[in-house]
Amino acid sequence: MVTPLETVFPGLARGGYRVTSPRDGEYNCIAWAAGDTRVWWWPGRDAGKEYWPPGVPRERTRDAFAAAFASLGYKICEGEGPEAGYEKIALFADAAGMPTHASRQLPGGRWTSKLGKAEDVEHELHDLEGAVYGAVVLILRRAATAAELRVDGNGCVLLIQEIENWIRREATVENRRFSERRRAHAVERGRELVHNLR
Amino acid sequence: MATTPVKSTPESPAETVEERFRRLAAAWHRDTDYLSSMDDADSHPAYQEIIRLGPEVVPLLLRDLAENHTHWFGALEAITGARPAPASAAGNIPRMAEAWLRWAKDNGCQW
Repeated sequence: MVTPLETVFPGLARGGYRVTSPRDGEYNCIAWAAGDTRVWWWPGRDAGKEYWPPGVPRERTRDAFAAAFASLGYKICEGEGPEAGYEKIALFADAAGMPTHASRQLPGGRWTSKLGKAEDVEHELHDLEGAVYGAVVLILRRAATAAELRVDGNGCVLLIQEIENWIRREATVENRRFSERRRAHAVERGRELVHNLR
Repeated sequence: MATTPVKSTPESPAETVEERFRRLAAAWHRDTDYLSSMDDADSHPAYQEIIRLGPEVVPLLLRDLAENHTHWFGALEAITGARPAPASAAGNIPRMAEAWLRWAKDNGCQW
């Protein structure tokens, strides 16, 4: 049976996918890729409706989206395969080159996406390509500070990733006054916590 | 954006504002729920037709906003001319909804 999701994204049935959250209209694909589930990220015309990182051009262009992710430490790279020590994001755009969607790579190489106001899904990267999101046009990566901890087991990895997601949210969204000093302190506390759990 | 044309006239002369709103909202959800751009979602023909329903539809928008945090911000602003959410709430859907519901109470709107 074809599900409603497969009707919109026919490629999902090809590679297998898994719905990993309920529908939620409070965050979108860019927010999810950025590790933020509290705000809706988009460079819309009305700056009063959607969050966009301060100082990044409020334009629906590949460069503006790359700059938004650069504010979180991501840089453009080649290759969508998983690389030890790196987290990756893939940007989708339509035929006119206008960004439509972003996915974030999971440990192991599959990808996770928030589908607009709908669910989060785990999927193969290119299975979301098509009429709605267009195609992957850009891959970005950043050093994954939690990567070194993966050898100690999934529990620890998840813990520090949660801490870092929280830090990222605090630093980028909720509290613009959140200082680098406090961020560094929180990271250090997270590392100590994980170390003590070893 | 893949959209399905929305009939610009009521299905039947007896269709109430609420029935028309429900029909249009369903079409809007179907066509735009997978999009991230609020501009794209707000420019959908069904959304624009909901705006054209005028003040009568405001209680229905507020109720759906309160219950589901549906993105009726653009429609409410277009109909009422108000803009109650502070700039610091941009993208924070619960805070934007709260600001609109507070504004509605302060202005005697019921939903």
